[in-house]
Amino acid sequence: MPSLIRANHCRLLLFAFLLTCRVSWSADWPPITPEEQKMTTLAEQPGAAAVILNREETDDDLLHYHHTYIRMKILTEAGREYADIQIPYDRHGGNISEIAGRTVHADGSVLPFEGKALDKVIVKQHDLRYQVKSFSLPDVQVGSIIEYRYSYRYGDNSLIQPQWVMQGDLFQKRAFFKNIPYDFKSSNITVTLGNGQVANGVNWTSYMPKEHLPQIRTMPNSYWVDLEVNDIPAFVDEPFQLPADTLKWRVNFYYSSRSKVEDFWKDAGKTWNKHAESFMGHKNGLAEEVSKIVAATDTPEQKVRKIYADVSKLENQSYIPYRAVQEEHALGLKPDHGAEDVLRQRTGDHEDLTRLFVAMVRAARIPAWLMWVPNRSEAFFDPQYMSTNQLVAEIAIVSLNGKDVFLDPGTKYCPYGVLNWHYSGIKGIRQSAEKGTEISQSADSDYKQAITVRVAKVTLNDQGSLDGTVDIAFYGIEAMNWRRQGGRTDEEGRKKLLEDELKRWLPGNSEITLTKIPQWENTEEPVVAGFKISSQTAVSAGKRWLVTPHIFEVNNKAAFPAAQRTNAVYFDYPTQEIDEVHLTLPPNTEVESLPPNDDVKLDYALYQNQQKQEAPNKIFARRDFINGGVLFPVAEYKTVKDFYDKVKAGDDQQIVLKAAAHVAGN
Amino acid sequence: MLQEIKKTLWLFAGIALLAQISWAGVNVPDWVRQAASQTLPKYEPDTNAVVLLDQTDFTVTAPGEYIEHSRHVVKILRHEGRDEGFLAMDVSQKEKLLSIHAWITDAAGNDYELKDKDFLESGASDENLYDDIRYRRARAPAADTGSVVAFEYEVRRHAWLNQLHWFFQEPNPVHEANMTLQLPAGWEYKTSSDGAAAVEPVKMGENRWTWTARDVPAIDHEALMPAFWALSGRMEVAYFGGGDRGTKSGSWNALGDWYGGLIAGRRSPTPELSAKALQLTAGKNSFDEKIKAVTSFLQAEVRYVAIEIGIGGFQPHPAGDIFHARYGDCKDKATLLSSMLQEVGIKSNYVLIHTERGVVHPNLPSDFFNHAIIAIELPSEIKSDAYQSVVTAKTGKRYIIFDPTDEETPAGELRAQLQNTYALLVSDSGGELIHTPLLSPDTNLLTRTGHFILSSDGTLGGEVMEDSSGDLASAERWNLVSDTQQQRSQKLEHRLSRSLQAFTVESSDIQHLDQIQQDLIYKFKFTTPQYAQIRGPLMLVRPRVLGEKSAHVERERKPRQYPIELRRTSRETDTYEIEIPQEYKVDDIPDPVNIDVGFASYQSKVQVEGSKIRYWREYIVRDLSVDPDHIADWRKLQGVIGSDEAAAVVLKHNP
Repeated sequence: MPSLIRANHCRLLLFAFLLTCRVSWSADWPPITPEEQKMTTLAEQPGAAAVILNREETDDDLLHYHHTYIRMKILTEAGREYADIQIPYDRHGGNISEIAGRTVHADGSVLPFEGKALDKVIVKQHDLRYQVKSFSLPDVQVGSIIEYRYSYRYGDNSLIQPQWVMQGDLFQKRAFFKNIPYDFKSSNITVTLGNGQVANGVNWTSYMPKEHLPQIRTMPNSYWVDLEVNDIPAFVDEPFQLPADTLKWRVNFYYSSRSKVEDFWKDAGKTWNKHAESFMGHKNGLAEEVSKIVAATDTPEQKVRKIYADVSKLENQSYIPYRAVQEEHALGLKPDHGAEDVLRQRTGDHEDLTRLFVAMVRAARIPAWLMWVPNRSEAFFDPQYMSTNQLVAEIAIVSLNGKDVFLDPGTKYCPYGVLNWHYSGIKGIRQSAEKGTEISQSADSDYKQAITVRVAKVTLNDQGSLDGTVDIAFYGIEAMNWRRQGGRTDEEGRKKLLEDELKRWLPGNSEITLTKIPQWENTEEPVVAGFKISSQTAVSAGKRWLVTPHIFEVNNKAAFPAAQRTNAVYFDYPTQEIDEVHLTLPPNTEVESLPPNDDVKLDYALYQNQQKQEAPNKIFARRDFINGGVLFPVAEYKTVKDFYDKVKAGDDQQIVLKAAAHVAGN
Repeated sequence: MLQEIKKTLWLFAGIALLAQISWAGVNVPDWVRQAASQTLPKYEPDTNAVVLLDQTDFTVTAPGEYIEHSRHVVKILRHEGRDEGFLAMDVSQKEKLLSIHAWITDAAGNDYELKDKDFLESGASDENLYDDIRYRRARAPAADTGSVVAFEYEVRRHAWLNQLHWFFQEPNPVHEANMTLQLPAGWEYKTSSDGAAAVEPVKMGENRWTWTARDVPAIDHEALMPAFWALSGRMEVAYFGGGDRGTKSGSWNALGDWYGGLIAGRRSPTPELSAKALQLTAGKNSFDEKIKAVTSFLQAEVRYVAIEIGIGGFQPHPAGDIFHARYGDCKDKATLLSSMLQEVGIKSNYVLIHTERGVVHPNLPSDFFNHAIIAIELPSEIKSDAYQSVVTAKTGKRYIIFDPTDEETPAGELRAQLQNTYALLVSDSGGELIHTPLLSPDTNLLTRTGHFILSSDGTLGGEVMEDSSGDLASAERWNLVSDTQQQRSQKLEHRLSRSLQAFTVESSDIQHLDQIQQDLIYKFKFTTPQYAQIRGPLMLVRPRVLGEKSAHVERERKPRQYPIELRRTSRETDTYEIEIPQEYKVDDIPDPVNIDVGFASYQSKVQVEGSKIRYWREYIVRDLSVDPDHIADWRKLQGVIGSDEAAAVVLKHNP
C-alpha cells in the first residue's frame, strides 16, 4: 500500500482542476491503432495470454485522487480472465468512482460495460474497512481489446504517495506514470511525518533500468514527476531468487523532511539512537542480575555468553503466539518502558530482548551496541530510499578482544555467535562509539554455522532392503530452525517432524522410528536424533544389485533444471552437509564395482564423495557438500548449474553388487 | 494477488482485533463451565483438540425462515489445536445476525470474552467475482494447550429450501453433538441419514425434538483420502408446513421439483441466442455435429464468471443475459447451453453434482451440491457406446453427461472428478438420482515412446513423443493452456528433472493444445550427459528413461481407515528404445515385472533387439478407489513400480 499521512489542513483545493479532470475522464477512449487491432501474438512473450497495450496511472495529492487506465489485448482463451477486474481499496480512506470499461472486438464492434461494479467486503471492523470493487467486461473473446478506467478518491486530509510497480505477469507495450505531489512551497500547511519530522518535499527511489528514470516536469504553479516506459518485460518467477518485490522494476515515492541522503540517515540514526538509549537507560536491577550470573574471574567472552544464555531463557514474545491485551492483563504484564521492565517481567519481543542484552553486557562493562537491519527474506537496505520502514529488527554487536561479534539474542533458539540468516550479511544502521550511528553491514553467515551431519549404519538384506540406524545432527542455523519448529509442538509432534524429515530423504515406503530424542532446549548444543530404519533401497539389475551409497540424496532432484535464467540465484544462507554410510552386505554378495570418488571445487563451493570397501562385506561412503555463497549474478548461472548437476550426478552413482558365486564364476 | 492482500489484511485485522478486546467483568456461562467440567475419554496423543459440545438449535419460524442457535465448545489438547481459536460463521445479505459471543478459559483458569464488536466482517469466497456471503470472524485470545474455547451465535436464516444439514463429525473427536428442531404447530419433518450414522430423536416438547451423538471419532487426515464431507457423519432434515409434505424436499424427486421451479423460464431463448445456435449448426445435420458445435461455443466463448447474490447461488441468470454478456457461472453456462441446444432440436436437462466424489449420498436427499452440469438427451437412433459419458435414467432415456464449465473436456467425455459419483438429474417430472459412469481405462490413454542413442561416454540423447487422450489430455491441457512459452519450457524442464540429472532440452512442440477433440501430442528432444554410469568395463543404464508412475504416499502411523482415492482410470504405456554404443554388449537385464492387484496392474519387460535395448511397460488403473483392506496390495504395487523404475541394464565393454 502506498504510504498515507495526514495533513493538518489541506482542504483548499482547486475546484477548477477537479472539474477539468472530470471532463477529461469522461471523454472518449483513446483511438485504437490498426496495429493494435490486428495484433494476434506477442513476439516479446511467445504464448502470452494477453498484453497490456497501454497503462496510465496518475497520482494526485493536490486533488486527492488516483486514476488508472488500462488497455489490453486478449491473445488466448486463457487471457479472457483479465476481463474480470477486482480493485482492492481502503473504503475508510476513500472510494472508487468513475468506473468505465468496454470491449472492442476484432471486427471493430464495441460493447461498453453497462453493468454495475459490485462492492465486496474483504475486511471490516471499527475504523478498518477494506473492500474490492468488482466487475467483468462483456463478451470478451480472443482478439478482443479490453479497456477500463477508474479513480480512487481519498480524503482531503490525507496524502498518499505511490509505489509505481512496473512489472507484472504481462508484457506492457507502454506504461505512463504521473505523480503530482503535495506542494509544500505554496502552502502554509504543516505535514507531520511518522517520525515526527515536518515534511518539506517529495523524494523517490528508482529501481528502474538507467534508461528509464522518472522526470520532473514543472509548470508555473505546479510540478509533477512522470515516467513513460515502452516494452516492459513480464516479471519472471524462478526458484532460488531474491524476494520478488526487490526484483521488480519500481519507483517508491515518499514525503520527506530532507532531500540529501546523508542528512536523512544522520537524522534517522539520531532519532533511533535516542529512543534505543533511552530504553536501555532504564536499567534498574540489570547490574544485580549480571553480578548474579557472571563471575569476576570470567573472561569477557564468558561473561557475554552467560548474559546471552540468561536473556535467551526469557519469554520471547516474537516467537510465542500473539498475545491479546486481555492475556497480558491476566498475566500481570505491563508495557515495557525500558530494559529494566523486560528483565523484571522476564518477557519481551525480539527488540526488547536485544536491547536488554546490550544493556546487560554494558552493565558488565563490555562495549556493546545495537544494529537496526532489514529482514533479507523480504527486503534489503537501500540508503537511497529515505525511509526507516525498511529497517525491521535489531541485533547486537559486542566488542570482544577488539573485534565486533554480532549476536541475535532476540531470535528464539539462535545460538551464541550466530545470526538468524534474516539479519546476516545485510546493511543497516548501527550504533557506533565514535560517530553516534553509521551505515554498516552485519556479519555474513558462514557455512560452518549451518551444518547437517547424517550417519547411517545399515545392513543390506537379501531382499534389497537396508535395515539399521541413522543418526542426524543439526548445528547452528539448522539447529535453530529445528528448535523453532519443535518449540511449537509437543513431544509427539516433534517425533513426527523428525521422522517426516528422514522420510523425505529416504526412498518412499521407508519405515522409520525415532529412537533417540534430541535435547530441544539447550540452544548451544546441536539437535541430535537417532532412528531405526528399514528402507527398500537396492534395485535389481538382473543378477546384480545396485545400491545408492548416498541414501540421503535419493529423492533429491536437479536443483537447476532450467537452461536459461532471468534472475540472479539467491540462497538463504551458506550450508554444509556431511554424510557417512556404513554398509554391511549380505552373505554371498560381493562388490563388483564401486562408484568413482568425486572432487568438485569452486571458490565458494565443494562437493566430494568417497566410496571404499573396508572389508569384503563392508563399504564406507562419505559425502561432503559445501555451498559457501549466497548470491550469484545471472552471468554465473551456468557455473552454479554445472556444479549442482555434478553434485546430482555424483549422488546418483550406484554400487554394483553380485552374487559371490557369480563373481567367482567370472 | 488479491489473495495475498486479503491474507495481509486478515492478519492485520486480527492483530488489531486482539489489541482492542476489553476484558472487564467476564462471566462465563454455566453451559460452558458444564461442558468443560466433563470427564472425557482418553484420546490418542496426537489429538489436537476435542469438541466438548456441538449444539445447534433450529427454530423454524415461518416458511423460508428459521433461527439457528449454535454453541460450540472445544478443549485444545495440543499446540496444533490452536486453530480452534479461529472462530467464524457466515451470514448472507437476507439474514440477520442476532448475537455472537465467545468465552475462553485458559489452562491457568483465566477467563476471557469476545463480544459482537470484537468480531470483524470479511468476504467469503475468492472464487466468485461477487457474492453476498459475509463472514464474522475472530481469533480467541489465549487459545492454546489446555484452553477451553466456547463460541455461541444466533442468526435468523433465510431458507431457500426447507432443508437443514446436521454435520456431527469433525477433524477432532466430538464428545457430544446435538441438534434440536422446533417446528411450528402442525409442521412435520423427515430425516435422512446413512445407516452407520443414524441417530434417533428424543421428543423434548410440543413439536420439538433433539438428536444427540456421543463420542464421535475424529476424521483423521490420511494421504489421498476421500473428501471430508464424504466421510463426515451427517443427517439431513426436511421439514414441511401443513399440506406440502414431500413437495419441496426430503426426496430426490422433491429436490428436483424444487430446482425445476427455480429454472423455470430461464432457458427461454432470445432472437439473438436462437440465431447464433442456428448459425453454429448451419449445414450440420447429425446429432454429433450439432452438439459439438454448440458445446464448443459454450466452452470457448462463454467465460466462467460467478456473481451470486441471494437466490443467485441456486438460480441461474436468464439465458439471454448470459448470451449477451458471454459470461456466467456453472449453472449459467448449463442454462445457456440447454437453451441453445433446444433451439436446434436437442433436449437437455440440468444435473446437480458435487465435485468431490461421495459427498452426494443416495440415502441423504439434500441440496448439498456445488456444481451444475447438463444431461443431453441421446436420440433413440444413436447407440449408447457412441459416447463415453452416457447414463440411462429410470425413464429409459439416455443422456450424455457434459460439463460446459470444463473447457478442456469435449462433449461425450467426462473428467475423472465427476465420474463414479451420484448426481441429481432435474427433469420436468422432478428429480432422479443418477450415478455417473466410471470410464474405462481405455478412454484415458497416455502412450509415450522414446528413441535414444547412448554414447560411449554415457550421454543419452533422443526424442520422446507423448500422445494423451481423455482425462489425461484434459488435465495436461489445463496445466499448459494459460502458460507462456517460457513457462511451458520451465514446466517441461521441471518434469524431466524428476527423472534426469542434468539435461538440455533441444526442442519441444505441443500439438492440438486447443483442439480438445483430438489427442494431445507433446514432442521433445533432449540430451543428458552422464546418464549411464561407467564403471571400468561396465556401464549401468536405466531403461526407464522418463515418467514416474509410483506414488509417494507416506506410510501411515496408524492403520489406514479410509480408501485411497485415485485420480483417474487410465492405461499408460512407455516404450523406449536405446541404441547402445558399439563397444558394449548387454550383460544383464532386469527381470520382467507383472503384477495385478485388481484395481490396477503393472507390467514391464526389457528386451535386447540387436544393438538396442527395448523397455516396455504398461500401467492400468481400473478403479478410482482402493479399499483400506487392500492397502497392502497398494503398497506392494507401489514398491514393485518403484523398483522397476529404478532398475538398470548392465552393459559390458567388448573385449
